Amino acid sequence: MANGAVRAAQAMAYYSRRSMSMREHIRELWAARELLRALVRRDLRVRYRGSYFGFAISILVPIVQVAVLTVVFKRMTRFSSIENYSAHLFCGTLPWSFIYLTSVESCNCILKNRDIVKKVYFPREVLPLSVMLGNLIHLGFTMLLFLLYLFVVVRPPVLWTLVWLPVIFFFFAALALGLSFLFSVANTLLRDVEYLLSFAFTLGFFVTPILYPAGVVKQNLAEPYFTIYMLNPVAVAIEQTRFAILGAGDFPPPTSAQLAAGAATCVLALAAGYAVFRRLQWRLPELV
Amino acid sequence: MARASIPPAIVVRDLRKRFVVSRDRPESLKSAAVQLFRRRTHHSEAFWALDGVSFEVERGEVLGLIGPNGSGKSTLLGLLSRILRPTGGTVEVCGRVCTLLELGAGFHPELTGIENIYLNGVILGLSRSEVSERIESIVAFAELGDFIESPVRTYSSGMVTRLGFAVAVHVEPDILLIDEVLAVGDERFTRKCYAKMNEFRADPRRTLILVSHDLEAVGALCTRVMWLERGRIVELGEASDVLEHYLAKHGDGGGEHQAGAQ
Repeated sequence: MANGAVRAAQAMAYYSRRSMSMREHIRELWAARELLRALVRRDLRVRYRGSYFGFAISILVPIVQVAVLTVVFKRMTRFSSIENYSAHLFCGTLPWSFIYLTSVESCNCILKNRDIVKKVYFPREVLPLSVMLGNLIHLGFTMLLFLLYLFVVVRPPVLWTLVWLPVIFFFFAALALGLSFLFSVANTLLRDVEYLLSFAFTLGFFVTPILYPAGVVKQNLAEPYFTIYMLNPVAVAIEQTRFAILGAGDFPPPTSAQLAAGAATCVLALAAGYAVFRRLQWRLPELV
Repeated sequence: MARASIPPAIVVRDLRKRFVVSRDRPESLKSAAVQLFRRRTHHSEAFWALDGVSFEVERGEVLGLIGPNGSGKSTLLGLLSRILRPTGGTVEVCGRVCTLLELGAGFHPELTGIENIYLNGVILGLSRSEVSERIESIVAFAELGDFIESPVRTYSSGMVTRLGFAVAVHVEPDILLIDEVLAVGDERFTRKCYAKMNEFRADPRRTLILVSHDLEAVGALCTRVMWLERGRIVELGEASDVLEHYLAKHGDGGGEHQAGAQ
């Protein structure tokens, strides 16, 4: 590189078929952080301010959901014995909504931005990443409101296990990002993934311990099947959230084997989703 | 090798791009599932959109790309802006590249004009603080008055156009790629855009690449012209020469009727 000095002085870009090294890639992603921030800001602004009641609605939806579920299930089933059933429900529905909304919104994040995907180069990871981050911020916000309500109005004992919440959500966010990577390219390739996904999530709602605690399943399911049931990383995250906030259930975050398994599943999902994304991202401008 | 103090803005060597058009690529999970049970038939066709193109563009140059539809002009712009990955060959680009967006692309209808300026500026590669430095100038250029604080969905199409162009010309990239988006808006605004383009052209640090079917505009703006046909360079040279030869072959129609759909 004889003229290396001259080149270094300029912003040089050199590209060919060879794919970027991981280091170049991370540098590029870092350079795109302003774009990421702008996209997250856009999504949140539109969500909270799209209509006059945008903000109120985004807060009311989870509350109404829990209110209805509480009335129906507390009255009609034996879960009525569970102390503070609504709090149990919130621990389930808030993370569930996060993973559900992230997945569904990811399906269209590339199609929705086709104008810029076709015309401007930027690391495409930014799009699914912005969907996940926007929803994560929303989750943090609703979770905070829930905790405020819980500890100011209901006043259960405050547990030291609360410090595990960030760790639980860290892995949960990794899972959501993995799904976000996967579904963003999958639905761009095969446009009906979106519909199948809503169906899968409707079923998933019932096989995940949201309405009921996992302990009930444990009593009713023979052992190999219960372990399989708990392979669902969303189930693990929800049960751990319950333990961290309410001290309920059999899955204390730091010690149970499910934690390690759940965290490993989340990281694996992220790695797999990202691998698929990186393989197919070059075809995106042709496909949208 | 002459070691010039200023390297060329763009160096392209033996650039190739092949597209595979698969007629029976499943477009839904449903059809993918159906295909699993059918005998595999491969109805994919490959064609070379660009087939070994090499050239250099110096700084300060204005290069026009002409050629009939399907000759590879937009593919070349896509490769230069890095949206497409080359099948073979290399592209070296020195400086910040910016593509002039189709107007209004990247705007969100629910956001205000100001918010969209920030969003679009960052999409085009500026940092937030760089947008802040330019915001007054952009707002003045767009001439939207109080509408700048209203959601873009309330704008007329002419207003969206003005706002989009205002952001694009203020990005001030080292290399600007334009794909057939000139001549928009009313006459006064078009003149303003051309004035801004001339300003850009006069700056020896900036390079402009323009794809157009409007040969008159190409002749007026460009110093050199590249004539592409079926993914190869037919001629690259002085604007007036190339345009003359091109017209001699394709007539005034500019090749519209001789579409590239082989």
